[in-house]
Amino acid sequence: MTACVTEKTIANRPQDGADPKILVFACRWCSGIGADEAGRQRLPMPAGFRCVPVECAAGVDPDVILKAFSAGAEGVAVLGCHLDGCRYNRANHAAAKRMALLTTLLETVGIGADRLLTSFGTAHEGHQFAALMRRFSQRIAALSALTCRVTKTDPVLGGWGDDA
Amino acid sequence: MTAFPVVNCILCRCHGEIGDIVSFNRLQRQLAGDDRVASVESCDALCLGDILANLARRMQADNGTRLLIAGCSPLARGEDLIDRLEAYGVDPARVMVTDIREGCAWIHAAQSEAATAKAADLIRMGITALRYREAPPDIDIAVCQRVLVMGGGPAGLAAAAALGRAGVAVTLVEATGRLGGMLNYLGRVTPSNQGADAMREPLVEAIQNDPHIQVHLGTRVAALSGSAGNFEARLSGKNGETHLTAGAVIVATGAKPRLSRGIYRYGELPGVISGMEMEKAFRDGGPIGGDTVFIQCVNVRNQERSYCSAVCCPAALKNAIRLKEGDPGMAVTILHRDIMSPGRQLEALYRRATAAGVLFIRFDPQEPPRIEGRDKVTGVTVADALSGRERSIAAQRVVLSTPLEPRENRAIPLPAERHGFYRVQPFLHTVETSAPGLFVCGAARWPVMVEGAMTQGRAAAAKALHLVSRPVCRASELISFQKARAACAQVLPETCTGCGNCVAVCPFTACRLEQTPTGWRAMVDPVRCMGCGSCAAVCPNQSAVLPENGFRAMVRIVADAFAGRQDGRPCRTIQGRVADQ
Amino acid sequence: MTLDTVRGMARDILEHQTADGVLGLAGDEDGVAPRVFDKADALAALVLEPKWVLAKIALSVLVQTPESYRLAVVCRGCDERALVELGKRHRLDPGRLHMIGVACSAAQAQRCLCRRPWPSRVDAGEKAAGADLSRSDLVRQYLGGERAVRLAKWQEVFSRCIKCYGCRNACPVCHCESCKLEDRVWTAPGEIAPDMLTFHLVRAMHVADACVACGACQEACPVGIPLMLLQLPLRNALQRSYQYDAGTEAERLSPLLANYIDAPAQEIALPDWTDSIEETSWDLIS
Repeated sequence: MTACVTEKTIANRPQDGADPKILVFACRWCSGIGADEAGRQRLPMPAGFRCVPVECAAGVDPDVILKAFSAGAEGVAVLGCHLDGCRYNRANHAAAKRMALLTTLLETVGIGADRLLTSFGTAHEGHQFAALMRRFSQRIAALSALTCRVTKTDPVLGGWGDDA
Repeated sequence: MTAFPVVNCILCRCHGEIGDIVSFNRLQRQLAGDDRVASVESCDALCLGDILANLARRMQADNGTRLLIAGCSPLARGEDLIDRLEAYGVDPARVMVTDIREGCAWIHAAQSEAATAKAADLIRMGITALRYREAPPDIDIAVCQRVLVMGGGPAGLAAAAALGRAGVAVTLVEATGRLGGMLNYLGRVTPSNQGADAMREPLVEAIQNDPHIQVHLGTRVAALSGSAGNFEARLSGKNGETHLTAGAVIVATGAKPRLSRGIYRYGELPGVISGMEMEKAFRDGGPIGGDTVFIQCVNVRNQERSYCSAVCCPAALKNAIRLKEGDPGMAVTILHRDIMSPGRQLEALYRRATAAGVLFIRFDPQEPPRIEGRDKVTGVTVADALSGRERSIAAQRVVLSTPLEPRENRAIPLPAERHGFYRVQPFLHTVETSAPGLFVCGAARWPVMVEGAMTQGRAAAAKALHLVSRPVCRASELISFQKARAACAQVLPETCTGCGNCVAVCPFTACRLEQTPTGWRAMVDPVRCMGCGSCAAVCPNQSAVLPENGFRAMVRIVADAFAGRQDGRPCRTIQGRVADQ
Repeated sequence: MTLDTVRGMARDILEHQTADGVLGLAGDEDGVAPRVFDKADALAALVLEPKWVLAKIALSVLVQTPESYRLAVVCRGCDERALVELGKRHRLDPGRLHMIGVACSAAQAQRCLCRRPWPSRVDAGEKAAGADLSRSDLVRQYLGGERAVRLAKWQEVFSRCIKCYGCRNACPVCHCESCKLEDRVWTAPGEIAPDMLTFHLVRAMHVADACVACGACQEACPVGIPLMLLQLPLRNALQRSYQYDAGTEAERLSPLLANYIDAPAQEIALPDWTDSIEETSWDLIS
């Protein structure tokens, strides 16, 4: 008997070419508007991600992220304002710290640190958002074979990163 | 738990922008099978014609139902739709917009199938969010229509005068016995070159003649508490302690010029004087003779104080020009690391100084200039960073530019940035701090010249005026950068353990601990809270919640996000109706 | 000898009324159990072994006694750290506590995988070196190796869970009266074994910055889940980034609750912070 949803998610990922399921928590001041900007420019992105608008990245409870993995998400992204540009003073600093710790925990149990992305972007960075979604999606797709091999991928650099 | 509200859905095709990519038939079938949804309609363009007016009429008739609009993003027309419904008399808390255009159709135009599935998921998430949304009523704050101005320097005087002119009651508190602050110490102000006294007199006169302004000299603010609309200050002065209530507080406590003994032999060698002593010499009006060397960046822009004090270069330029004007034969040299004279006026000042014959020599902070002389200054030796040569300059006077240092006043409940100046909100905010109703201007927020400080003072006055001009203000208006905020956080006292996580993490110091008969409990100040949700994220047992984004809603939204794609098991709502596929 | 020192100190405390009771272990023919000694005569029964985490018992004694009651506790390093963490969270008043610090032996430290087997003030026993984790097979088994191996390993142990809540109940720093793990929003009732993510990892995350590595959770676990090893990399991360070791500094709050300006992290420069997926090599053990 196994009740670990993780196993189901990771091992039985359908190999039908569907985009990986990614849940994106985007703060509604910066990254959420950045996502919108990407939409306005009609930048193509993998269709596997779903945006959850939140007030601030700091409002994302790590437990909700764990719940998301348990509910079938293959990757979770927490996107906030740039570190010194948080609309709520420096709330996103604490969020970044929490996410770093949660990442460690995910790595510990072998789910993989790569499945949780913490990043910071701003409202005009639509292209960066699209690039980030494409790359994160690629990365998660590569991770689906996690049970048998570890894939090495390019790091995504600061902010929303440059388009590789 | 109370019964969930009924949700009606309206899907907008946006003239085919959405409808051509996302299959509306499938969306409608899915929603029709969803028992949380009472009715589903689609339209070609919700923002045109009289559809909204009809919707509003219907919503007013069946009070209590909620409406989910799936269409363009809130930033495109979504917010506007809500605003228009509100104008028709519909409570905006009953309406939510889910973005399936920018967030779905436009970015997945090549994947119609996947876009439809995503739209279905997004709508399902939206329905959940709307069902769980709690919108507690806004809080009305009775505003005390008085402004407390701390500091009677240029910034404080300008703020008080502006508020007085607007007819607002002002209490101006000055720690020293004389109004004017730095104007009492300067000769002339940069860059306008006006006499400081000539600037001070009309300002002080205006303050003293204004019946709205009470001035307390020799008085300090010993304690400051409360929040926007109702600050409580304890003033301690010559006549003992008094209490004051104010709707807004303007912090204009300035900074202090500070030069320690021993730096460049200051205080040890006659002839080495500080910039402030130079100003005093000008104020005294006596003749000033003797070749002069100015040294810039004294004990600033180093490890200990890494900031640029910003006022010292303009001050040195101004005084150098004045010396040169007084005696063109005098040798005046400015030793600098780089002259900070930004802007048109200061650049003109720099050019005037060079034209007047002031010599500029750049030095390297690794090799600071050395003061020569046994019992009085005879000259300065400096390694010229540009030519690489050591130069000896004969001088009878060395003026050390005096940097400004933040003042510490523990009574002011404001966060400071890393150098100790009060921190203002990022981006386009010059005087607003993380505490609404508490504004900071002048050198208390960053070294600034007199005229800049006065402009900031007037800016702070304008912000304070906006707050105190009405007797009642809404909490949602306080946050300086948004139209409406998510309702403030709440802590459930039944489950709160008083661990203090929320108090430590709150970026607005809105949470505090209180001792109750059953132990410590956290409380949220509804006026200070800005609704970021940090407290909810660190609360170990969900006692702190953000009503609009509660954990119940979040958990279910998260579960909904991929509910339509559970592998090999289509979700119930689609299953019932997709026999034809 | 250590035992005699502790008994002597306890006697002093009771005789001079420095405290109203001494919490320690009492051993007799029936076995060993925690007991509050309030008479000096009874102290002959005071024993130190085996290791028994007394912090939570101290908390319940303090809760049940009046404000004026002062309690002395025979503290190992982990007990003291747990009491400090509880004090930080306003669960107890540190002024009512008197600690008798006992250092653990090297063998005990290795058994507990404890890197700090001594309290801040050692009253009895010799400070022994902390455990060398890289020598432990258990650590290598669960925290070494590739992700897939680790995942399989952890899933296997978590599938044994019978959801007895022993880990939570034994944990000295778990202090909430209502618990997320009992809320059906998070954890489905009747689901055994519980979901690893929403049960075990949620618990791990909750105590991440308070865990004092006492090992009470895994000692309480009837199916032998090495829960302490789950906490170890989190503690390491806090130590590495913020030099934070829970329970060692009474005045210092968890760095997770502060921003990067007030509680800076090493090797992270403002204003830009890179993504969490940039790191490619993970050292979970040291």
